[in-house]
Amino acid sequence: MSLKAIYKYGSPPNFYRFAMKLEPWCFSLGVFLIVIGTIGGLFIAPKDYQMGDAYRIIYFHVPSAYLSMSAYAAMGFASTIGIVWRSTVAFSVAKSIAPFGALITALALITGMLWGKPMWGTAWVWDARLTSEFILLLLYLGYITLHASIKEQKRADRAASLVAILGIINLPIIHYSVVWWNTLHQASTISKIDAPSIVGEMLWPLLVMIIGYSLFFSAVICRGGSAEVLMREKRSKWVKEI
Amino acid sequence: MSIFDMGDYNFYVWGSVFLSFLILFLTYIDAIKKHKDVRRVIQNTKDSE
Repeated sequence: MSLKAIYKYGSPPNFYRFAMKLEPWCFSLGVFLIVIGTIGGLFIAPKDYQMGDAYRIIYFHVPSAYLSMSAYAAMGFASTIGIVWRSTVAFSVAKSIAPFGALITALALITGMLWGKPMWGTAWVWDARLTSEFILLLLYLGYITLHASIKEQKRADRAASLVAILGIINLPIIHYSVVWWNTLHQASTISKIDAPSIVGEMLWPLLVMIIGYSLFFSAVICRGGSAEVLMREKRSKWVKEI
Repeated sequence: MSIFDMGDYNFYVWGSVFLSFLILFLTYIDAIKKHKDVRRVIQNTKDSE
C-alpha cells in the first residue's frame, strides 16, 4: 500500500465511507464462516483419541486467543500511527479495538479454564502462558481506564497510546512462553504451517473459525471505529452532510 | 446417541460455545448501538441549529 493510499484513508470522511462499505461484507462473511467452522468443529471433526469431545473447545479457544493478540498488535500499530501522524482515524480505531480486545481476551481465558478443568484437573495455574495472557487483559483494561480518566481527548489519546505501544512487548512473550519455559499449557498447534501437530480433518474447521473471527473483528472495528470518528468530527461540515 | 451429546464434557464444551457466541453478539450489538447513538447526537445538533 502506497503512502498516498494511507493518507487517503487516513482522512476521516474517506475512512468513514470505506468502513461503512466494508462492514456488511466482513460481517456477513465472518458470520457465515463462524457457522461453518462451528458445525465442522462440533459435529464433523473426529473425536480426539485422548481428550475425547473436550478438545472441541479448541474451535472457540484458539480463535479468541489468536484474535486477542492480533487485536492488540493492531491497537499498538494504530496507536503508533496516531502518535507519529497525529491521525484522528488511527486514534479512533485504537480506541474502538480496546473493549473488543478486552472481551475477546477474557473469552480466551475463560474457554481455556473450561478446557483446563477437565484436562488438567484445575481451571487455573500461574504458568507462563496463562499469566502472560492475563497480563494482556490487564493491558487492555489499563488502556481503557487511562483513556477514560483523562478528560482532554488529545492528551487521553497520547497517554493511552503509550500504554498500547509499551504493551506490544508482551506479545512475543505470550507466543514464545511455551517454548521458553516449562508450561502446563501445550505447545503451539498450528503455527508450524508446514507440519501442524493436528490432523487435516480437525484442522480445517479451526482455520475457518480463525478467518471467521478475524472478519467479524474487522466488522466490529469498522462499525465502532466509524462511530468514534463521527463523534470526534461531529462539528465538521462532512458529518453534517451525511 | 445424539450428535449434541459431548459425553462427560457437555458442560465444558457447550459452556464455551454459549460464552463465545454471547461475547461476539454483545460486541457487535455494542458497536451498532454506539453508531446509532452518535448518529442521534448529530441529528439533534442539526435540528437545534
